[in-house]
Amino acid sequence: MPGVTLQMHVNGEPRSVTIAPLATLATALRDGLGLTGTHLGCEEGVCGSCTVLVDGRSVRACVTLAAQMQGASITTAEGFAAIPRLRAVQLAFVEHFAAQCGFCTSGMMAVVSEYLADPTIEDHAAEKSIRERLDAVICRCTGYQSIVNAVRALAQTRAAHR
Amino acid sequence: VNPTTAAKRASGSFCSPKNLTELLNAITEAGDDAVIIAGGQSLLPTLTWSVAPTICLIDVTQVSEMRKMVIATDYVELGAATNFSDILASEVGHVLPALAQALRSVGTFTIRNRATVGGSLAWADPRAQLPLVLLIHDTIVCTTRRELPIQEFIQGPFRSALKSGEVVTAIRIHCADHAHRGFAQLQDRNSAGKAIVSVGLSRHLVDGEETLQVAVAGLADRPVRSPALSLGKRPSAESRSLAVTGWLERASTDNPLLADPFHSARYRREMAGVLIRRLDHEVRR
Repeated sequence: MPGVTLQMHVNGEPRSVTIAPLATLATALRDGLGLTGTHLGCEEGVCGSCTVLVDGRSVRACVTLAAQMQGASITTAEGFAAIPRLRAVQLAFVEHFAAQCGFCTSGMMAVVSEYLADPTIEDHAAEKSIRERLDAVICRCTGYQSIVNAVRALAQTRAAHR
Repeated sequence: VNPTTAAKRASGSFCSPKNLTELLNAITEAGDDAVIIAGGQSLLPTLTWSVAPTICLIDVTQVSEMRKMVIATDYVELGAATNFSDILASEVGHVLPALAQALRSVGTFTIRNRATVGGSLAWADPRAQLPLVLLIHDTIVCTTRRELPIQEFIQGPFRSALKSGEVVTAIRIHCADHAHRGFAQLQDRNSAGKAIVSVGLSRHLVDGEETLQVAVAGLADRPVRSPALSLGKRPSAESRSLAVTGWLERASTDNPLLADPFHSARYRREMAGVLIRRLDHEVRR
């Protein structure tokens, strides 16, 4: 089987993986690199659980062709703890009980960290803009309230430090 | 077969041309096995769930000529490989607010990070927001072989005028006609960003004579556009409404209609009428 050899920066480290031309980014990360923190839910781009950061932008790993990620910089749930800005998101999720079963949490955190870094948002703590952005990931347990609380707290803490 | 296994079993090949010449060569070489991929947001679920042993994936996102975004005084040109998030982050929204409104409604933020102009047009989902909103603009679709108006490009459900081996390279929207335009849509809460019905409207006022043009997606098996509806001078609310509902009825008899257990054809037509009336009101303010 002809494979595609992919060089990417994954969680800050250069990684090389050989994949099938049709493989998704989720398959490359999970099966190729053993990074199972990227959770596959619907596998058709609806639920958002598999969301990872590609060059800082949220991307659904299940509907992203791995071969197109040549040279990209990828951050998965496993890489969050090492980056202070993303570590803060993890801690806020813990503090506010924003995870229950945890299946959507890695995707949810990727979307939240992209949201908090988005300079076009006027007020990151505004409930409406938080909820609008969270529509990218489906959570079946929390009812979203605790996640909204975590994001609002992060936005308020950041605003206070400015 | 679970999809991961299917994708693993499938072989095929992948290439990522950097310019149009390389793209055309890759397409010629792949022949009937060529599958063009841009953001992959609609294409990939279909590909990974099917076992396609010999396909040649050709990535167009790195083709330099297809990544351009030009905002001139009288037109906007968007390369087929530009994604919706990049368009929304640009000045395009100031020049073409209805287009920006439509793009903001597509999927979720994460989808818009990957979804492209060319991908949406080539996929030709009858409910897609982009082809619909382009119908109420003066839009030319540029391909590797020709240029054609958007209304000729749209051919049916998941069907465009693209021939085998032909690729959309850009769209060019003329925007010097001073028309007022708007976009609105109806979504249900489980839609994942896909509209049940969406509408676009453009309103021209020349020497007090008013014309309306409306387009609807989610009603028929393809987005449909009205002819220019002449309303004359200072039309009454009733005559505006009649012009629109009259066209909606004709559009519903002339085309195969979409319906599902939750949203009947009649519901879709009624909602299209409501959205158009609201939009008409909004655009006139």
